[in-house]
Amino acid sequence: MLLVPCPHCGPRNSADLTLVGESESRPDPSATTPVEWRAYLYEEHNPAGWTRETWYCRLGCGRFFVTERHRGQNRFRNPPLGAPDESARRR
Amino acid sequence: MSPQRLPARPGEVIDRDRALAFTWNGRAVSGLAGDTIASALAAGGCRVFSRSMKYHRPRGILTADYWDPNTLLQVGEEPNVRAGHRLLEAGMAVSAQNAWPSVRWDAKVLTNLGGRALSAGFYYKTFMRPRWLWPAYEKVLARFAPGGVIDAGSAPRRHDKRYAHPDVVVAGGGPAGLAAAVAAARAGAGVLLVEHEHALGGHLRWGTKHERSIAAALADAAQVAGVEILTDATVTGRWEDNWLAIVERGGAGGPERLIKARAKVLVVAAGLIERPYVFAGNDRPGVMLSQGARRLLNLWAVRPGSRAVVWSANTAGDAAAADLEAAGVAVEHVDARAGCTVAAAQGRRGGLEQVVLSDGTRLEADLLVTAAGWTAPTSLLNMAGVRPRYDPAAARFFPAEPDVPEAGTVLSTGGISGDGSLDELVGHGEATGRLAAARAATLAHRLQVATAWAAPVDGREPPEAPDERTPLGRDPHPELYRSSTDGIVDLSEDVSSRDLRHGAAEGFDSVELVKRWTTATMGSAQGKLETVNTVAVLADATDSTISEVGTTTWRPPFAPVTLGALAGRMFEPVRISSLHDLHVAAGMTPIQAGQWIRPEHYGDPAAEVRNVRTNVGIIDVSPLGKLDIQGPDAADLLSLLYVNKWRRLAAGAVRYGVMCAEDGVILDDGVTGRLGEDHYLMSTTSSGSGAMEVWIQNWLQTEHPDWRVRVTPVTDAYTSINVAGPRSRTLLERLVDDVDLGPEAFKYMQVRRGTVAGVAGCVMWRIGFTGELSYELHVPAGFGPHVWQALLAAGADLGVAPFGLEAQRIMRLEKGHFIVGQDTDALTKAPTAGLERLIKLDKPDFCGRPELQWALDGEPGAEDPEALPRLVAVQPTDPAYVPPEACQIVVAGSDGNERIIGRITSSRFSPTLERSICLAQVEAAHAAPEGTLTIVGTDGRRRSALIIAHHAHFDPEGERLRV
Amino acid sequence: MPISIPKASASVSEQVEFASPLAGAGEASGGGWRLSDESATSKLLVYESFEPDGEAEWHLGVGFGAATTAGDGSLVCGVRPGEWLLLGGSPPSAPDMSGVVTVDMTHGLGMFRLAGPAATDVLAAVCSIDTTEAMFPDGAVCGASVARVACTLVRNDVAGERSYLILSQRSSGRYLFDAVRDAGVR
Repeated sequence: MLLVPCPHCGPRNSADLTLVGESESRPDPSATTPVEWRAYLYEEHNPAGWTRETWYCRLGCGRFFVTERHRGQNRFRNPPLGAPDESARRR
Repeated sequence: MSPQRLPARPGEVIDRDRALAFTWNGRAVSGLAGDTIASALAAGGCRVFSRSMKYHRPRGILTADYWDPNTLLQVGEEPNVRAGHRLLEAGMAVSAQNAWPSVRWDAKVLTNLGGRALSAGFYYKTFMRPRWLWPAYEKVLARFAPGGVIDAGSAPRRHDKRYAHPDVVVAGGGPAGLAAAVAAARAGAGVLLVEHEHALGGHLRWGTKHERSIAAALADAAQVAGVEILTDATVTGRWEDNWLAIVERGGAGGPERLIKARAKVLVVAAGLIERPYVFAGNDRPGVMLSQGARRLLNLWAVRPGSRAVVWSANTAGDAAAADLEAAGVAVEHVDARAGCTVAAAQGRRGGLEQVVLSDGTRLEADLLVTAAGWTAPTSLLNMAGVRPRYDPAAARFFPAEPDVPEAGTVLSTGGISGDGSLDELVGHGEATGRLAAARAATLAHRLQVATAWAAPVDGREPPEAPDERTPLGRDPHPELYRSSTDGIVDLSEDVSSRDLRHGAAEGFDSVELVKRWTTATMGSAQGKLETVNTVAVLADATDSTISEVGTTTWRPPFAPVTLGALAGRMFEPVRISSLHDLHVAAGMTPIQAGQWIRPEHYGDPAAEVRNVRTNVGIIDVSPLGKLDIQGPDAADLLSLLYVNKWRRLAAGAVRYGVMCAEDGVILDDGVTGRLGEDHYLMSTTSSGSGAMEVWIQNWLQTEHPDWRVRVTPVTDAYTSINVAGPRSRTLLERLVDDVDLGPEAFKYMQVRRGTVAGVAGCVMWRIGFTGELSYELHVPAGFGPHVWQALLAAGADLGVAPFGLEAQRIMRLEKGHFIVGQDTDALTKAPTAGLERLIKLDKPDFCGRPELQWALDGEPGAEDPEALPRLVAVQPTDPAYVPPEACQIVVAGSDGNERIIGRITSSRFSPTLERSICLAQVEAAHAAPEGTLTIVGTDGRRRSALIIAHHAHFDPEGERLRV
Repeated sequence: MPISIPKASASVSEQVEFASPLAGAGEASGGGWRLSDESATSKLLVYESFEPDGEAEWHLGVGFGAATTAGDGSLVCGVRPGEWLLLGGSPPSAPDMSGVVTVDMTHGLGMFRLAGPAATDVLAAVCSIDTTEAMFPDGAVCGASVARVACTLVRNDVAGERSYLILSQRSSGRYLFDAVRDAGVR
């Protein structure tokens, strides 16, 4: 079970957190087209490499944060502590 | 004394003063304390323990340990007990498996004669046609299924789990493992040593006097150093960041326990497992591996035979020959290093009477001991990403250099990583232990610094310790896998070398394919005895080398775990309201709704409905999601979350709102009341409350961290009681003094705070889910029971009675109120539920806005709102027919076939209208009021129903709740 | 433990008893551990001020992950970044500072105390948090799953004896108490 580096709690069992998804900027809803919007809603890049992800520390501090994980090797880069600066994927 | 029991042997583990009586296939037999089941049977002269899986060939002791494939026996109600490992207990009822009428004469041995038809993969080729015979095939095949018998009536056992956080885990308590554990503990690490066998020492236990004394000294040192020692336990799996599963078998007969450990460093000292040699007759009783013979002789003082041939390629085999001679067995010592191999083991009726060597020599023997070489059980290392590499000079796989950065936290020592004298193994173990402790200290420091609640660290992070151990050497060893003859490669799956060659010839020519085709390595030892021989045979058959063929992927578990131990205690959290005990006392029929246990009814839901519509009823709606929202930007948040407008909601007013997801699908609905300037109380559906809390936090934290608003879940902080019915105001006025409940002072969709039955701080709002005049009270939960009982007492003359979830569902259906998740699904967009008027597009961005806007504006690429399904209220023509929920609604198509156009989403018999009522989703084209629908019942009959004008079947103008 | 409530001129004149999440006795014990119900303790959730730079900032003396005893005897716990839970004190006093939101969680949270030399072992059967001394010292606070219920865990040794406070939403309290008590029975 992977140890996820929560910036507030410290490393925690992945079972204590929820992977929200790839971090992507939410398009401006007043200026977006249906095709762009739905790409934002439903498509993920999912490379076998480093990916910016949003995680939610569900059983711990209750904070959302962004970090980078290598999806092929399943390990994290050390993220800086602090608040996320990008939107999480929402549906 | 049992016929094959020897006089006292130095180092024996049996207690000759404690005899244990047990039964074997119904016959009374006995053994000694310290015996395994197999050693006790062997001491009594037993040579045939089981019949092989497919061919039902007689089988005897091969390894005399946990991995022995031939000694899986039924003990009482427990099947598949590894008799080579399980300690004997008095009173055990032991019997053979997979043999009828007995192991000695097994009728199913006739399958042996059909061997050619039962070659590998036979079940893909036989028992196929004619298909109508499949039930018969199934019965026949079931009789040949191996394994023991399960008693469905046996009492369930309680299995515990435990979490642990050791600095260093050492897997294996042989000399190197013990030395590593001691050294790590002395260097300050918290050490957990896990040993598969019942005692520490590994192969030293059945060795020379010197070896046994070293084992004892190391075991003592481990105790003194404070190592936590687990015996009869195995590290059975390793996952990321050294998350380990350790199965504790708990001593003789104890229930298994699973330990989940997060170790900083894992030391793998799993030793070596002896490999069988493949030749004709290699599976006969009387053929055993050299360490099996040594264990029988030296641990349990059992003579494995009277005339032995020892065919040895290494010093361990030579030692077996010496031990046999010392025990008075006649030994013919054949040196494999001189080039001679075994060609066949032969005898009448499947037993062993003579051994044929490759040079043609025939030797009489009832015991053939082979020492063909070793296999490194590198599973745990493989699970850490360390791939094994084959060394032909040493004739085995070794852990190779790790190629993943984190493998610095997984170290190997002892026989698994190389060879050497006992001193060298111990020395390597010590160096490994020190290295493990140093690396664990670095990680512990980092973890402590990174963890918010840990104690502050003193000092700097210990520097990364480099690996400066002198590697162990590699003794040369002849490559001995298969003789010139064919034999059984996987004894537990009855896969022969001929099966493997045929499989390769049929095209299954890679190791992963041939494994799955033949099932080789998929048996009780999971490849520990079979993999390398399989690879060697395949390499021969495909003209390649062992290195090129490679091995199959090693996956957890390394040692078996029972399902009970994996499950552990059943943790199924339930949630109950503060009124739970009162509901039980009132005779509720409970229903589980999500995690909540709620009253479905109190005996007669129809009577409860009539009472609410006539008098007054009270219902416990505590699971209703409630959120306390405070702050200057609270209105901004409500505006964002709901599709409608909130900024002009006055203090004291309540409004209904719907939340949509970003794709326009309905997420949740509820009412929100404004309690004060910057203070709101939001309600959500009961089942959606958890998800809505997360949804809201996601928006606040990731999209609007600058907003000044705090959202706190208060679902459990309030006991929520809905007081409903024409007499509800009368009842409440008897308990509330500080709020004017008059119809003009406290209107429909308003909220007040006040004191109910003497309890201050209650929130009351007038809403109308049931369609009656009603007040929903939110009482601080600790005082909930007091208020509930006060209501029942104060309203006795008004006919007050509790009502449950079922009555509430009937009444809301009578009023046509949809339930999110029941009448809507994951595809239901807001227009389907008739919510167009609720959606306010003239406010700034809100959740779901783009999709809803495109739908309502008819944007190209958007779904045509006209084509979306519609929620309609439906009444079956037959008022007594209540269609089961989810029944399909159909229409005749142009081609004469029926087409599904919708389904019944909610359905009940209404006591108020005395007829059936429904809500349904249907295609828009068929959703016009006064239209007729055809419902397909679960009995296949078609019945008609009418779409009524409103969603509400009863009081469509809502007059009853506005009084 | 009855808590007095303001008497309105309603029909109730005696003190109203505070119902605990548990059914009967709020006590259980075993070899080296005791479990007791302290749900009636007052609990106030305090958020950091909306105005962090002004003098209105609420100074509570601890950050996320730690707990300390305040002057009035209440236990101040940093349960989440920017959120504190004040336990005890009579009654919980709401800080009167602008921009600070408080929510009374006395009724919404159940609270149990698991104490004794075996308390850590009992917890290790139902909770995956590292509770070794250095990683979870006296005064440590964290969110964790205990027997599959989301809880707040506080190490609060009393008179030198190992002791943990386990807080959860009230509705899960009875199940949680039973699960922890079962874990102590081996």
